Amino acid sequence: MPDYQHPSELEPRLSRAHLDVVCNNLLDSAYKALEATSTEDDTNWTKGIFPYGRIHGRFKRLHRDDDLPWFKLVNNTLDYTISIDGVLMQVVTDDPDVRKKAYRVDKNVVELYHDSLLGPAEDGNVTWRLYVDSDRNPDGPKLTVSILGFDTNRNVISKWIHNYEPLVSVRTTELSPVVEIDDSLPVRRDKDAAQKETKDADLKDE
Amino acid sequence: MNDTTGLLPLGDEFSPDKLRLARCAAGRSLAEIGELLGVTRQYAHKLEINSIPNQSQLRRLCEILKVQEGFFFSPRKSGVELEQCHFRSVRTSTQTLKKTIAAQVEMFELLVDELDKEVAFPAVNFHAIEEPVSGAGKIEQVAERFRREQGIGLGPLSSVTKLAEKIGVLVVNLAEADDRVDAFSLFNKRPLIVRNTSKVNPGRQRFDLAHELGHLVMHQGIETGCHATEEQANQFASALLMPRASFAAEFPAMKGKYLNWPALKDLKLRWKVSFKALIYRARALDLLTAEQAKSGFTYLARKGFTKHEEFDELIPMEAPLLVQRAIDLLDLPTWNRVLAGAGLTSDMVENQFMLKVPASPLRLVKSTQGQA
Repeated sequence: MPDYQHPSELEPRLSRAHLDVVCNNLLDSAYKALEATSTEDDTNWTKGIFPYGRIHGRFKRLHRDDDLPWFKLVNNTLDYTISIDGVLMQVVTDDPDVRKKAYRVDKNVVELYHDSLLGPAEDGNVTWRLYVDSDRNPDGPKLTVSILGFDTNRNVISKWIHNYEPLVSVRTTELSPVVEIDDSLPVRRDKDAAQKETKDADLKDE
Repeated sequence: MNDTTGLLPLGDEFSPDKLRLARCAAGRSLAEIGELLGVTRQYAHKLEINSIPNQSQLRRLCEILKVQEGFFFSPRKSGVELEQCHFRSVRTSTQTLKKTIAAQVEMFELLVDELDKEVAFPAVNFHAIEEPVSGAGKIEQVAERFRREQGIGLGPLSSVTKLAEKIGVLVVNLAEADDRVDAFSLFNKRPLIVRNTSKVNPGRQRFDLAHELGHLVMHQGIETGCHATEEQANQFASALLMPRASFAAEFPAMKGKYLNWPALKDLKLRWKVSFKALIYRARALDLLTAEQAKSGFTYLARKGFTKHEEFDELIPMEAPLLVQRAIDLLDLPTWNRVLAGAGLTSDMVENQFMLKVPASPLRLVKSTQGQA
């Protein structure tokens, strides 16, 4: 088993910070879509198509977000492709280790056009894919996002699993510090205090 | 008892009440005492009314009940009545067990009275509410005022036991306060909280202590144990441990229709409460719908997390320190004076109150003359 590294080792433009933003948004959107499709009237089709559409919709929103100039949605078709700082990537809902949708590794028109324009890229024309997979746990499915890089022979040359940090709707940005309670220390009573006072008074009289 | 004459000390009378107290504290029945003394149950009963035991019976009683002779020759001051104790598990604990625990607490108070002559404990420093408290909103305010008065901000509490001790409450372990009793509190001369020593869930231990603080703050002079007062104390505990302002801001968003358990784990470890308490609190603050909370409880029940929960081992257990520290300050002669004043024995203090007592630094050693 090859020891894979973070995609940024292969393609510096795929920085950790950028990938975290994309993956967290993707998962946030997908989990919300799962909630929406948990009614008795939902079918496998709605459960599959709804997250797909929602993720697409989230990327459209990120594309419009002026705070993320590095993020683009470069085509609007069913095989929508995102661009992270100029690196193209498609989203695939499949098991990254046992890939059923092998054809999704093929480059689409946008990617081919991109390659033809730029020629051999710095990363050796790696094809990047963002795999979304579910463990199908009935107690609450856990979604995993993996970023895979394939060479021209479709060998996996980069694989990285995103560690999801939920986008918490916080009303405060600072956590209240833990209240450290000091130990309570009992003290020995000074039983001679009264006598001492008397002695002191006696001394003063002298 | 005078060792030379074998007579009872002049002027001091045998107190049948104290015999009853010691017997209850030892959890012995009249029949058992009769059997151990070699007398009838009826005579054992008479000893607790108006008869006076002879010298050998008195010695035997001291052995059985683990008290000093002087214990029986001082009048019983103020008894601990069951109504004064804020027992939680009213239905599960038997009347006999409750009497035993109440008697042990009264014995503990005797010890504290004597200790108090030698050592100054922190002053009682909290504001008890005079008027009846009702309504969740009001209880939130009471808990917030308590935090404000103690100057402890809105963050997670590092130790509820230390907080209780800081405001002058003595926390005590009783060996026999098992699952049937739970924690309970009372306020005679000094507020006391008796902990359940069998609980191994640190989150629940902290919640129990906060619950008892709620009784001490809100229920002075009110008989507790009913659903309403217990619910109020629970609300106080929730509000004290997880203040709404800071807690609501940290509660994680749902992952779809499911609770975000990894984030709840972090929250549990930060606030040192159980998952159950987190969900209850989130529901009370409307951060979760009734359905979401229910699914959370169902998940916990399915995983078997009732008494123990996942990650409990990562939260340190709290232990009372104040009374032990007071005893540690005493040298052996002073400790013996304290014990004699209370009429108790070191054995009893160690076994029933789970405290370590001063021991003589001197030990008998075998003579080496014979070998030489």
